Amino acid sequence: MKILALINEKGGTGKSTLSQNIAVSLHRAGKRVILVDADPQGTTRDWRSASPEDANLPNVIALDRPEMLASLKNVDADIAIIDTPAKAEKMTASVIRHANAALIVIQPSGADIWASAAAVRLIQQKQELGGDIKAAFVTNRVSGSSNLSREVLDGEWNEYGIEQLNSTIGNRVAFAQALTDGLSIYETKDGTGKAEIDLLVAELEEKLCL
Amino acid sequence: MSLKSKPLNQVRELPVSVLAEEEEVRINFNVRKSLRNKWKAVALKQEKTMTELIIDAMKIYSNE
Repeated sequence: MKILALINEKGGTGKSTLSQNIAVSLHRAGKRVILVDADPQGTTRDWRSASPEDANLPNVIALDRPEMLASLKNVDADIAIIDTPAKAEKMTASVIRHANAALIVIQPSGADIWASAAAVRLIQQKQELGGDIKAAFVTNRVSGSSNLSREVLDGEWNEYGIEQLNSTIGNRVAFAQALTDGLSIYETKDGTGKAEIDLLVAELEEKLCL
Repeated sequence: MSLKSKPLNQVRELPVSVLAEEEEVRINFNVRKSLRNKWKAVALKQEKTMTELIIDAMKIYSNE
């Protein structure tokens, strides 16, 4: 089973929203997906609780102790997507230890980029210890008209040797509405949002070998 | 002024030792109840858990 972790120790970058939508995209493509909510805030659990009974969504499990990560390998699934908490060093380090791939979620903001350094350090440390993990940045809530978005997307800031994906996610109300309704972007009328998730998942499959 | 990433040497101390931890496995075995009670009493006296007591004893036994 492949394990993809969405990380950034800063809160509010969109880790939960992207975890849900990536998981739904893979689920709809026929993969056996388990969505793991490792955030005590429980946004992904709340999202699933808000879902209509007949919704075609992946199962969600809660994981509140790093020690439980080892048992994930016993789950019958092709891919586990882990939604990690902000500012929880031991949990994030444990998730990185078990993950095959890490997606660092940033918004067009200095705060998000600076906060991502901790995740980068843990990923590089795992690689230096001989661990196998692929990683990439994805930029969320991009506003095409802002200078800061352009500056983040041009990637000049990125001196970490971790690729910034070409796929970006726009600043769309449909994501927040879908989350609130316990659904995904695929159940909304936002065709551009769906296309963004499709492109992101295709790039993840290609570059992070999902 | 252009946006810069944070140098990694400025990142605070992180629990990197977690990354190198060996995976744990669970061991179950049966012993007489009286023996288990004896071990429990020793563990309590030494302010250890039963697991810690047994691991410490095995380390001594195997010269670790």
